[in-house]
Parts: sequence; C-alpha cells; structure tokens
Amino acid sequence: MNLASRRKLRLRLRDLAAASAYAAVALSGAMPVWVSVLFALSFIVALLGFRPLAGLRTGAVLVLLALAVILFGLAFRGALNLVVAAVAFASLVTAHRMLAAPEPATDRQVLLASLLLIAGAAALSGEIWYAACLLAFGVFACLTLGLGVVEGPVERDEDLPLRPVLRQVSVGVALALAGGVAFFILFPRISWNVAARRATPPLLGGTTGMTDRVRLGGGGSIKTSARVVARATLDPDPGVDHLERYWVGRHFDTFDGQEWRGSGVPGAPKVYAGLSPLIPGTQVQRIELLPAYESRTLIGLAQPLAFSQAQALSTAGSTTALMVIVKGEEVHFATPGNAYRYVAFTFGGDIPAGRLDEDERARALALPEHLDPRVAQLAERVAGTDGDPRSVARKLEGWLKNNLGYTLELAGEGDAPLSHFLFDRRAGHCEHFATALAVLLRTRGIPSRVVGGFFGGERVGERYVVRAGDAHAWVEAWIDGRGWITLDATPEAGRSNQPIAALARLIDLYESLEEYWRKRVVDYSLIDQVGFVRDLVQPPRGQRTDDAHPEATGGTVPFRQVLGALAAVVLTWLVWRGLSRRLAQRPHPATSFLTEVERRLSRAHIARQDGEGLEELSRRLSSRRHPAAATLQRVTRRYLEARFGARPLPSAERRALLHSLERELSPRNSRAQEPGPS
Amino acid sequence: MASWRERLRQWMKPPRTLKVTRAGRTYLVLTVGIGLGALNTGNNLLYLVLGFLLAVIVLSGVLSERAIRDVRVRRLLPDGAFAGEPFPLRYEVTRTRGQAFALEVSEADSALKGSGWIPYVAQGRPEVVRADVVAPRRGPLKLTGVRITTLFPFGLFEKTRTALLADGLVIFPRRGFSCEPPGSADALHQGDSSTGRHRDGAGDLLGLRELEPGEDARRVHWKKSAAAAQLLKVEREREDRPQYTLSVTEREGDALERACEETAALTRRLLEDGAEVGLLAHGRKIRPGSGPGHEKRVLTALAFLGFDEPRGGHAP
Amino acid sequence: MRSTPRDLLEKLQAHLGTIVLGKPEQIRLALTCLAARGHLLLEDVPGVGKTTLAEGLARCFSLSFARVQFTADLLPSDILGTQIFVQSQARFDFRPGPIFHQVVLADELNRAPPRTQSALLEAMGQGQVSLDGVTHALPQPFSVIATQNPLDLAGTYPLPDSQLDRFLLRLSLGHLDPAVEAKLLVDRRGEPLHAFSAMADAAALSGLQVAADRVQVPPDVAAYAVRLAAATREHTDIERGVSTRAVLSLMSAARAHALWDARDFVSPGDVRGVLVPALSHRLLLRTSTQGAFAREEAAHLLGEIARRVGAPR
Repeated sequence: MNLASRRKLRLRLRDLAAASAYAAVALSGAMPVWVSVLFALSFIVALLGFRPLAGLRTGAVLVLLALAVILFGLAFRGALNLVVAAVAFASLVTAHRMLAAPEPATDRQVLLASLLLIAGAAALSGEIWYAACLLAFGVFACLTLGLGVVEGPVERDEDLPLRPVLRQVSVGVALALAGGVAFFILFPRISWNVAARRATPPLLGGTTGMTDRVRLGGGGSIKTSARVVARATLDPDPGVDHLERYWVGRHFDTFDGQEWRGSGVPGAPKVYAGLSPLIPGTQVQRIELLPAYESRTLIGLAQPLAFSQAQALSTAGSTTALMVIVKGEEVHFATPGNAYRYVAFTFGGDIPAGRLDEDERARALALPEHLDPRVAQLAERVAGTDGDPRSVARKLEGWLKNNLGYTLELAGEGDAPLSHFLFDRRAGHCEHFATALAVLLRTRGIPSRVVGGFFGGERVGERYVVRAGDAHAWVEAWIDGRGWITLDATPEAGRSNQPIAALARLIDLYESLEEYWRKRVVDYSLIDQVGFVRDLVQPPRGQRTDDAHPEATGGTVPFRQVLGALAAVVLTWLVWRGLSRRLAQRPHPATSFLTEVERRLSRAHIARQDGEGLEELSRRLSSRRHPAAATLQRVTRRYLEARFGARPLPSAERRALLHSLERELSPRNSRAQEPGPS
Repeated sequence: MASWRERLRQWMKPPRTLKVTRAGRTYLVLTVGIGLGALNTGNNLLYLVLGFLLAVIVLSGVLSERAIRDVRVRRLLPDGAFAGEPFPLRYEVTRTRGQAFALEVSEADSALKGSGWIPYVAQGRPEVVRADVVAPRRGPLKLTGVRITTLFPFGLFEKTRTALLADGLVIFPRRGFSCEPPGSADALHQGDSSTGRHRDGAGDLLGLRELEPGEDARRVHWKKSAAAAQLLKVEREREDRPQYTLSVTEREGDALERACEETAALTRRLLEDGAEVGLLAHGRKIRPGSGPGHEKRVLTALAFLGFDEPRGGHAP
Repeated sequence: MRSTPRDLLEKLQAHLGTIVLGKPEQIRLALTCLAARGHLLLEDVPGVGKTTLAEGLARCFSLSFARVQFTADLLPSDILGTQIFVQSQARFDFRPGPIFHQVVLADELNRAPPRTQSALLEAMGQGQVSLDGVTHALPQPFSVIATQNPLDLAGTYPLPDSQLDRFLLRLSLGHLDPAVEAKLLVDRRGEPLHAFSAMADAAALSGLQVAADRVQVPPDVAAYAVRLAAATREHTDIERGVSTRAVLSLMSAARAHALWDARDFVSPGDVRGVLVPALSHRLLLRTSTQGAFAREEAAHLLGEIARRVGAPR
C-alpha cells in the first residue's frame, strides 16, 4: 500500500476512534447540544479530508481558550456540571486536534484526548452503549497506533505490506480486550468513595406509562413499546405463560374534567424491612424495576399490598432504599437509583375491609365542574333502577366494554375529552375507559378512583417481565363491606402491550444484553469477585440456596463453562504442539541407543571434548589404547549402521552391546588407563 | 539441567532496555489517573477502562519482545570510510521465527551516529537496511554490538535489545584537504635510468625481432618462427612511473591529524596523476605502488598512525 | 587375493609411514584425497617432507610421476607441452609437458605468474589439455599435488580463490615431534625413496575411487553438511562462506573418508573429519590476514562451527 492511501486509512481510523469516544460521551445525554454539533461538524470535515486548522496555530489555540472560558463560565454559574464541562472541553480539544495538520504527534494527541473522553463517559453513563463505544474506540485506536508505529519516525513514500501489520495488531487488540476483561474481573474492588457522582438519568429516558397524573388527550405510542421495565419472580409460581393480572402502581382520585391527580400526603421516608406475614395465600413477588422504568413508584400485584426489603442500585453499587408512603395514592422510593429491587406481598383470602373515611369518600365521589349532563343520563340509562352498587358497577363496566371501541389514534378531543369519547368518537384507550367508568360510577354515588399500573406479565424463563407497553389504567370502586374492587372497562385486546413480534425479540435480546451488562459489569462488586474466585477454586455443588435470582446461576454456569472451555483449548493446544513436535522429529530408534551409550560413558567418567561425537571419541580412545576402545568401536559402528546405514539394530543385539560396553567400562576393568581430557 | 537453568536465567534477565516515549508518559499518567478515579468512585466502567489500559501496557511488552526476540543481525561493512562524512553501514536483518515490525537498527556504544529503519521483516527473508552514519575521527573503530529498537506495537514504549556483534572498521583521514602538488616529476627521478623505459621482457608487446645467439630461447614465438622459417623473439617494453614516497613525521595531536589528512589528499592526487606513491611514517614503510588497492593500503596505514597496530600485523 | 578398500588403505598408510614419519593423519587424508579423485594442496614451510609425500603417493600406486618446480619465469608451455615444428614433414608435433603424468607435483605453485598457474589449474579441472584447437586427454587416474610456502609470500602470486577451489583438500604437514625427529636422525641412511617400492597399481587406485563413488550419503548427513555450509555463510567473522561446489567437494571427500571405516555410507564423523582440510581454503575471512595465520584462523572457525552445529543423532 502506498503512502497516500496508508495515511488516509490511518487518519480515518483515528477519526473514527475519536468519534467512538465522543459517542460514548454523547450517549450519556449530558453533553450540551452545541458541543455535539461542533464535534459532529469537525468529524465530518476531518472525514472529508480537510484540515482547516493545519496552518493556524495561535488562532486555533485562542478559539479553544475562548471555548474553555465559556464552558467554565457555565459551570461556575451552575448551568453545567463540572464533570460535564471538563468532558465537553476534552471533546473540543479532540475535535481541535482532529482538524490540525496530520502528523504522528497529532495522532497521539487525538487518541489521548479521546481516551480522556472515554474515561469521562464512564463517569457519566452506565448504559450498555458505552460498552460498544469502548470496544470501537479500543479497536480503532490500537489499529491507528499500530499503523503509525510501522510508518516510522519519518513517513516514506514506499510500498509497505499492511496486511501482516494489521493481522498482528488485530491479534494484539483481541488479546488486549481479553486481558482487559481479566483485569476487570480480578482487579480488587476497593472503593474509597470520596467523591462519588450521583446517578444521572439514562440516555433513552424513562419509557414507562407511570406518570404522576393521567391526562386525557396524550399520545398512545407507548402501547407498542416492548422495553422491559420490571421483572418479577412470583412465589407461589402461577406457572402460566401470560399472567393476566393487574400491577398496581398509583391511585388517582381527583378529576378536573381533563386530568386525574392523586391527593395523598407523603409520609416520612423510612426503611421497611418487614418479613412476610404468615397469612396463607400470600403471593410473594421479588420485583426488579429496571432503568427503563424511570419512576420511583413501586408496583405490585393488586391490593392489598405491602412492600419491604428495598434496594436501590446505581453505578456506585447498591444501597438500602428508603420508601415514602403516600396514603391512598402510592408508595415510592426516596433513594435515587438506576434500578430498584424489592419484595412485595399481596395478601389473598378475605381480609375484613376497613371503612372509607369521610374525606376519602368525598374525594372518591367528587365530580368535575361543568360535567356534561349526558354523562349522568347515560349512567342512569345503563344502570336502570338497580340499587346494588356491585351490579351497577358491573353493568357500567360491561356497557363501556361492549359499546365503545379501542383505539390509539386520538384526534380532536377539545376541552371535553370525556364527552367526546363517550358520545362523538365512541373510541379511546385505557385512560378514556377508566375515566369514563369512574365518572359514571361517581354519578351513581359509588366511590371510585382510577388506578395507573401495568396489566399482564410475560413469562421469560423463571420470571415474568413487564414491558412498557403493558402500561394500563383501570378503576377501583368502593363497595361497602367488601372494600375496593377492581373494574376494567377496557376491551381485553387493549389491555396489555401490542408490540411487533420481531421488534419484541430484538428488544428482548437487547434487554438481556443490558441485564448482563448491568449485572456483570456495572454492578460487579467485591462480592462477585470473591464468588468468582470461590467458584474457580471450588465448584459449587448442586443448587445454590442463597441465590435470590435464579438467573445468576444461569449466568455463572456458562461463565464457568467458558473458563473450562478455555482451559480445554489451552490443554488441547499444548498436547497438539507436543505431539506435533514429537511427530515432526520423532527420534530415530538408534538415537535412543546413542543416548544410552552416552549415559554409560558419562557414568564411567570418560571425559569428552566440546563437540566431540561418538566417532571421534572412539577413535581417540583407540589411539590411546583404552581398554574399552574395541567395544566402543564396535558399538559406534553398529550405531552408525543403524542410524545412517539402513541396518536396524535388533533389541537383543542392542542389549548385548550395551551390556558389554557396561562391563568394559566398569571400574575394575578401566582402572588401568583412565583417559583424561586432553 | 544446567542448560535449562541457564536459559531460564537468560529469559529472566534479557539484555533489554525499556524507555517510555512521550506519548507513553502521557498514557501512563492517564492510566494512573483513571485508576485513582476508579478506586475513588468504585465506578465499574472506569475499572473496565483501566483494565484495558493495563492490558495494553502488558501487551506492548509482550509484542515488542516478540518483535525483537528472534532477530538476527549481520553488519555489512563498507571497505573503508572517511572521517567526517556520512557513509552507508548496511545491516542484514533476518527473522529466524515469526515476523518483526518497526525496527530501528543502530550501533551500540560507538561513536557512529545514525540509524536504519525497517518497517517489516518477514520470516526467513533477510532485509538489508542502510544506516547513514558519520564517524567523527580517523582511526580504527571497534564496533561491539548492534542496537535493535522497536516502538511496536503502540508506540508507547521503546524497547531496545543489543546484539553483540564485534567488528572492526578503519576510518580513513578526513577528505577534502586541498594541498599543493609536489614539484615536477622530472626533478624526483629515482634509480639510474633516465628514460624510464625498460625492455626486460615484461610489459606491453613491442614487436618481433630475430633471436640473437645467447638470448633466452623461451622468448621465441614458435608460430611466427615457423612461418618465417627463422627464430623470432617477442619483445616487450614497460615504462616506469614517477614514484613518490610521502612521509609523516608528526607524532600526535592535531598536527598528526592534519598531516594525515594532507598526506591522504596528496596520495589521492598523485595516484590520479598516474604516479606511484609510497609512504614512510613512524618507522613504517610502504613501497611505492599504484592502483585502488594501493591507495587503500596507504589510507589504512594513515588511519592507524598513532594507534595500535591491527592484530595479526601484516604490513600491507 | 582381493583386499577390501580399508585393508588396502591401511596397508598404504603404514607403508607411506615408513618414509613420512610421524604424520599418520596427514597420510590418511592424502590417501583420502586420491581416493576421492581430488587434487591436493600442501601448504607448509620447506623441508617437512611435502615432496616426499607426493612422490611416495605416486610410487606406492606405481603411477607415473612428474615434478615441476614453479618459478617466476615458468611458462604455460613448460607445463602443458609445446608444438614443435618438424621441418622434414612441415608440420607441428605435440611434445607433451610434465602434466601428462598420473601424479604431478607442482612445487611452490605460487611462485609462477598467474597465467602459468591457471594453465595448470584449468587442466586439473577439466582432465584434458587444449592447445591450438587440439585436445589431449590426460592420463587416468590423474592427481595434482601442489605445494605452497605460506610464510614467504614476497614475490609470489597468491592463488586466487577460484583456483584454490579446485583443490579438494588442503593439508599442512607441520614440524615433527622431537622424538620422531630424533628417530629419523638415527635410522635414516640415504634417500628413503630409493628403497620405496610399490604396493599397488593404478587399477587398485581406480578400484578405491569406484568404491568411494559407491558410498551412500544418508539424507540426514547431507542436511548436516548443508547446515555446516550455511553456518559458514552466516558466521560474522567470515566474509564469504563456502559455495555449493565446496559442499559437493566436502561430501566427496567424506565419501572417501568412509572407506577407512569400511562403511558404505557417510557418517557425520566423516564429514567432520574432512571439514577443515576440505573447506578451510575456500573461506574468505573478514580479517584479511594471509598465509599461515589465515589457515589457522579458518581451521579455528570451522572447528567452532562444527561444535556449534548439532550433528544428527
């Protein structure tokens, strides 16, 4: 490859390395937009082969200085986090060096600045994207450096075969990655935790339908999202593929005609670490809220619920999470974190219902002002004269389900979305159905409220996953003597998520990768290290009992298998190499005879000169009239014949020769004339 | 086994030196910084980056070691070199096993400055690299070894191995000294002949002549004699060239250097003019002669003036 | 009674030992050289028995022998022969020179001018003499034994490397042991060669040569010889290693050497046994010393190479 194309390749790789590093930073979502735009522009210009800063020196430095002043000014005013500002400055330096004259020194500056970016990105994000960016950066940077090194101190215009270089460097990169993983696994996790940075929201943002208010008239694309927001292990395990259950998140009891709000009063943050009360029929759920959930509201299978043993997980590790109970509305975490783990208990069987206090009853019956009178008329028409609140509720639920359609395409709701839904469009999504049912119930004097949460749960392995598209809203009505009962007017087809199958599979793959990433990389801790070493030293027998997460076992076993496979490969290679060496130069049968003879000679202390072969020795001994000379001559001759003269040495003869040689060499025979080294 | 132990010791203490390049220094500082950051925050991603950085350092060591390990170097010395001017020193670099990249070859522990660069050496195919080096001064130069350096694979560290390879090189006196030619050749006749022509049976063919009685029968040209039916003799003639013997009497210091340079320049000039030049210096004598071999002989003698004689001291 | 090559060689060695005292190893190599159809170069100071050895070799095989003393004024025709004009028949007659003998002793080869040397050496190489378009075959078996005085180099014409290559082996006799020398003084009366009788004939020498040709070269040993040659090319003190022709010569000498052990194959020891005499004169050393020093240096380097290059086991 000639110099021009070589240089082009190298610069491309270098710029790609820088871009990968910046991508890691940008995907954390913390970078100001203008920095991203500047960097992208520089990257494109550099990729096109222009280096506008090649000639400028002072001017370029001044521009950089000005940008630094702006960035730190922003940081000083609190508009920008200091870490973010520093990383932004590093990206600008990278872009700056990318546009400078292409020299070996510039290459190194770009790559080292990019390395700073990568380190900064590690502080800013914990997403799996980071792994991809890091990988890309490592590969591009190593290739660039390798090509630069082969170029030498001065670029020369001569052809150079790049293939072997690239091959060797690629092998090197692969080894470096493997070594990096090994270092990562084994580097002791001792954290001083002097100045840890707080977790930041992930790049893609929360996707859950959990919001602090339910507003009619929002978009409905969420139903198709297949991102997993929560995983749960149920005990006892229902053993069905599709768990048709309601995951309660939040209650809304106040409706103003447009949106629902909760009106609970938050309590003090507390740690709840209670164990399961021994009530038969209690459904225990070990729930994990994933980063995609992006809300702090706890969810659990229908009422009545209790939560405990919560942990908040962040890049810095896991901590015990504080919970805040907002009575009548929700329970949420007070501790920040990317993800949470907790246990929820749902009590089954008949639990005596409490009483609804007056305040609550009033709120659960309040109707919005300016309610369309047709709503009350509709309720009256459907309910008829029935006085039993439970049958009224069922009737209203059934009417809505049967007479109105489900749709996610919402247009022209206007100021009165409820009337529009009930009388004009006659179609809507779960929030419309829930709102309508709750209001209809209230016009009939039955206390009711809207519940936000999830419906469904798909079995994946041992667990059930809840996707963002499972977000749902339904209604609870108060029946005296029975408590809150769940009503859902939404047609069944509209309750759980409706993702595209291929996309769902892709998302599943991504989710499992991300889970692996979080579990094995982001949350990797000293305990995991100890476990790893323990597993190496002593493989576990049978099922691990202390494992709350069965997938952990599933995750460890392949890892150990990988290690085993590696060991097997190494062993096979060693054996193969040994064998191939053996086979390649299998010693001649006469050679072992020679070895035997030489061993006997050295045992008899017959000194040999440097490089003296058996033939020379034999001749020397016979010229000195050594007593063993004649025998040795015979032995030598037979060896030569067997080795070079195609006259094999039968084992009997071989034994006889060795025996006679030994006899001749024995001390009493050779004591007369000992040949010294000459 | 002793040889095994020996090998292990060699392996443990290879004659290597490691130098960190500028980029490598920055890299190490960054690695330490990221390591501290990882320890401080406990951020696993920083640990991951740190792991890769450390792995790259280790890999640099391994790959650079591989690059310079099975390299065999042979020096191809020039016939002679003049002090103060660059001359090519060639190295033949061979890989007995594997391949090597980005090698820099230079002289170890020697006054010769300059190096050769080879981007790639394939297994078993010798590469010849040329290093333009300059010797600062006249005299015999002892070359002890060749320094093989590589920046491979990432240019962060510079690993050097010194291959012991003893050689000797004679550095002739500096060239470019202008001098006055000695007086006319006629004034410096030697011997008794005034014509400078000799017909003693050697030299160029002059002609055929009848064989006089008493003359050497071996000079008879038999074929011609047979054709002419009388004995004919081949006559040859050779011509003397002007002969000079230059002498150096200075014993040491700058004066000696200057005298050597002057004598070398004069020798060259006289030889170009077709004269025979001899040398008398420090009790050594070189008989007058001509030809490129003779010039080298004189230059070598000049190069050794003031130094110990070469081993196996045969006067040229 | 037909004797084996080995018996014959040992008999001859003992026989020659009566005139060249105390040099069994050199006699052995000289006989090896003849058996390998090679020419021999003896390099030594005068008076150590070079001529005696050469003439003894010729006599013991009852071969025709000629001795040419090389001098500065020796002409090619003095060796090869001359065309003599025969007036009565008006034509040229070829009068063969001393080279038309089975054993030619070229004494002090390096004293003759290069043209004369090359005339001899070309004849050696080709086994024939071409004069004025007529080719005259040399008698068979044919061997040239040349001597050189390595110390007294003044006024000589050292043989160029290409010419040295034509000699199969180069030997040096060296001074005698004091004990042997004393014995010589006591025993010797008159010229020993006068009483020296033939032990064999030209047919016996041809038989030896045929036997040497029949000796096999095992692949391992051939590879060993090649490795030795390669080592001379890679050695840092050697400017120019040996050529392929040199390796061929080495192997043919080793073949003849195997006869001494009555083997029909060459062993690594055979190769080592002839390594120094067969290769030392074909190396160009870096230290441009000449004469005896160079010979010793070359022998030293070859010994080092033989120690370093592992023999097949």
